[in-house]
Amino acid sequence: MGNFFRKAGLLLCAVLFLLPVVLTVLHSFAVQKVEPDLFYLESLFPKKFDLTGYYDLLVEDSQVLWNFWNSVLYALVITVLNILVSVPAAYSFSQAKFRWKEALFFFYIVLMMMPLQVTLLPNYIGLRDMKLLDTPYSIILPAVFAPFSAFLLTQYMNGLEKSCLEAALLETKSVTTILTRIVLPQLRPCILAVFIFEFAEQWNMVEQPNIYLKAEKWKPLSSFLSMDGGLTVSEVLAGSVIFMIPIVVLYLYFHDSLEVGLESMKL
Amino acid sequence: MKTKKAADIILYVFLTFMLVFTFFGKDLYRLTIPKVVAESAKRKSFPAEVETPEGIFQTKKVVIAVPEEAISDGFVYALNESEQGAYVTYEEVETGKTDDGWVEILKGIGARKKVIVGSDRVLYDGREVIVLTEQTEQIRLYTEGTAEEKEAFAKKCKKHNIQTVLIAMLFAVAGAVTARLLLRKRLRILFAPPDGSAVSIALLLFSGRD
Amino acid sequence: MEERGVLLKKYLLKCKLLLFPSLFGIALFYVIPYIRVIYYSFIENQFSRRFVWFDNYKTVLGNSYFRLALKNSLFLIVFAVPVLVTGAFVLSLLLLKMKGRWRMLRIAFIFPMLVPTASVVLVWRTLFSGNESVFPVYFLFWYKNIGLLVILISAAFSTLDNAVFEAARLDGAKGLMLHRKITLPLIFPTLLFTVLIGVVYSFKVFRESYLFYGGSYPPDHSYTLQYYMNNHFMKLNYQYLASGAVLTSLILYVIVVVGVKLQKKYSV
Repeated sequence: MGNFFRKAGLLLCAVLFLLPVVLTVLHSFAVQKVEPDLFYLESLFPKKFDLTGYYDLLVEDSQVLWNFWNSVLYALVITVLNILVSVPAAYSFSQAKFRWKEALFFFYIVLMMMPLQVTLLPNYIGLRDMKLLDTPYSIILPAVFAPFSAFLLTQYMNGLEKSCLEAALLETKSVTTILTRIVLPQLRPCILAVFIFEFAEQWNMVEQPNIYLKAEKWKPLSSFLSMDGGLTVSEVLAGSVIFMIPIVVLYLYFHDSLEVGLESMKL
Repeated sequence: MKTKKAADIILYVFLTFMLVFTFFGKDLYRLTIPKVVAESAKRKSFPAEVETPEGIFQTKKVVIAVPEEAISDGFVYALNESEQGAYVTYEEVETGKTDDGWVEILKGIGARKKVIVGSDRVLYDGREVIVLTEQTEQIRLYTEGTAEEKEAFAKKCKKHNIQTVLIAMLFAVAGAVTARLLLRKRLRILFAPPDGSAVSIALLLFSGRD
Repeated sequence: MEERGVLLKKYLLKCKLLLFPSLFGIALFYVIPYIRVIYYSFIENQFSRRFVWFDNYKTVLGNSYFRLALKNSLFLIVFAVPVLVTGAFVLSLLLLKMKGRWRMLRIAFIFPMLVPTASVVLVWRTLFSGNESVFPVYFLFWYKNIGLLVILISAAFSTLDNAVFEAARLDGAKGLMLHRKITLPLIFPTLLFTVLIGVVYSFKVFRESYLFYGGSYPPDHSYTLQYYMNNHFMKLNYQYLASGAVLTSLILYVIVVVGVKLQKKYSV
């Protein structure tokens, strides 16, 4: 009997958690009132259905689609570069021995914990001094070096069995061989977790493009979905669904790895 | 594994859709641009009454007039032609008398301004249009009929727009599926790599597996 | 043998070098500019560059909006974070014994972490339209972050040794008592860490709040530190922005240090 209540409670929670997503999808196929100032839905559950939102967004306003590809570009480039930078860093943190390692790693943790509003200003000043503002690099470069993935990968690597690595060290002293043959295969779930986590993080960014970029053509789709993006409610809803799909797909691919990877997020 | 297959299919269809809309959105849009018939506002002589101490006389007077069909609820759609294309603006007019299918314009637009007399789709302020030189049969007059008829017409137009797009999309998806069937062997590495999913091929590069 | 030692040294050196790209980028985009931020926080303005010591800090701390922001941020930590951790704890307890298909339910809890807030914000606005209190943003905060904590706590549960429970049961511990005496102490370090994560993420809830209220000036009760920073960013008041950033980073630094220390203390 206790089990029954447990299941019921869980199911209720799960439904509540998925409800906003489901409602967004439903509403994107529904008739919306055309009132420019009101950024609300008429009712919580849609009544009449049609495809106007999608038509307006995809066919009539198809300029916004280039911003969608901007989003894809940013998220992919940032995530891939970030992993390429972070895996060696994590390897270094778990293997190398030097005096300030602990302190440096702690610095990474602190930096990782800083909210965007703290890091935005240093990033902005750095970008301004390098004359990178208003270019796509201003979005990409600071995010590539964000320390979260290095932290997670280091923790995951520290939690792995060391015996395999030690055996390999007896055979070879080549860093590349050990990294590609021994470490990377073991790291796979964590890399996948970092991939999806970072991708989602970059996919959702709002503040950075609003502050670093002025040209609309370089902005990602996320900065158009908010109220001041200049789209109507039905367009925003259709855009939201389109915006969600890549994340859903990634999640379907990697949800198990995501859990395994994030589990190593502890100190 | 089931979720990964589902993800593959969603990703495939989604990317096809997005690519088609990105590159052909403008063309699809052209399919749904309203085709309109326009007529210039003309100077016409209208019957007028002149009141004099001797009595009321029937005379003629030259006024600016537009065809009756152009006016709907005190507004007209004025046509603006530029090098990029034509578009309409919604303009308020003050009307006077009606004579022989033409309506006198007291205020709002000048002579020679073109106004829309027929359109196959609902218009709104700033809407891009294609101007036809002569009235064809399929061009219904959007001002004809009662309010219900107009609404029904608007609905029909919207449906037509979406149908146009859906049919185009169907073609796109059919094309994509055919391409996939034809190129199955070559694409297999992309869509069914050893691990069973499209994205994992990219990650195989990371994982260093053989 | 000697050759081997040389090789090992070389290997370790190469390992050190692997850290370089990451360090270089962090120095370039975070550390060096941050030093400039500190410098900005001590000068009058960008043009005169007169050194004014702590005047900017005094102005910022004296600003009523900054204090309001600080108060609201603290309230978020004091109230919303414990609820978040408790909720995550309860959810992971519920998920603990689920098997097979029921385990898939956790997908629902992790999913919000990834769903773009911009996507679902319209539904949230409708759901809470007319609600004048601070709860909408709290709800968004819980909704967004509970998944990560559930993962962390579930992971801690899964490392618990069953033998401990068996022994405790044999000693006569039952039900709640068992949980209080055995489970809680064992996963206490993890709980501390989730609290830390919750506190840190409470500073990151700005985006949700910003999208929810759709502007730079939310109702007073939701005006957090990040709004203060963001609004100054829009006006490019470097000196106040800089001192605000330094203050916020100091607060967070203290929180992280205390959190990590506490966790180290209890995890032995």
